[in-house]
Amino acid sequence: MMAIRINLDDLLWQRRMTLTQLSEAVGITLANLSILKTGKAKAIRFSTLDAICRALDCQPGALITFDAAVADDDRSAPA
Amino acid sequence: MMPTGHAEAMTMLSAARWVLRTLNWLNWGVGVPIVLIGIVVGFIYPDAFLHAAAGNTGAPEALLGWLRIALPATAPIILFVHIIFTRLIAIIDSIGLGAGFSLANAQRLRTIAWALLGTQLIDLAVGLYSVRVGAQTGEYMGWGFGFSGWLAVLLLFVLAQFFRDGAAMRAELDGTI
Repeated sequence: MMAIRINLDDLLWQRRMTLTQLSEAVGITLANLSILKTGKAKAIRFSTLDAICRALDCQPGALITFDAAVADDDRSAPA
Repeated sequence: MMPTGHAEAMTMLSAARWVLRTLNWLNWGVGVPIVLIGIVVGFIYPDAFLHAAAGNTGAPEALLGWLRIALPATAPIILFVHIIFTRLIAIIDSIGLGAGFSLANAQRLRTIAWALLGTQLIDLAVGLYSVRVGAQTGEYMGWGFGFSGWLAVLLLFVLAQFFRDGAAMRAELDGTI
């Protein structure tokens, strides 16, 4: 299981913004933003990260975090 | 918005699909009877063949031997051609569904390459035998060596690998936002 977390839901809630509004602001389809929000994306372009950080006025580290607990669980789980 | 010429490309692919289906029907409809007639004449009615050939050639036995070997030997080509046409149709169908650059099509191209290699090997073997029989009988057996088929085999194997790498890159990009 991936230990990378996407905190888009929290950031949207803090800024009282909907996913549709963000989609219009950054020019990325709602479908693609949903994939990102639900953690199903395999990769994110710097251009996408740049657009989201501008729209939400945040740092990349606020949007993407590393969950050490999940990483530790993965390491201790039997192969 | 669809790229310019998309509708024309789809029409061309649809026409190509129809042509391939028709050619495959002809492949079976003409290929199988020719092989069957050759086998029947060569093995069941050889005397009639020898009698008919005697007036045209000085070595009718050699011609009968050719008929008995060459026609059954070319029979697998019908199956190879069927494989080539059906895989090409499947590739065309996948393009219509917007999934042309896929691992499945890379595998189909590789299968086509192997099938074409099979036809080339049979063509070479039967062709060389035909030249030998032609020297005995004085008949031109209608075969000449050509590079284009072998080049096509090589190109198909290279293209199959190209598709495989491209499809892997495409799969990676699919999850990129």
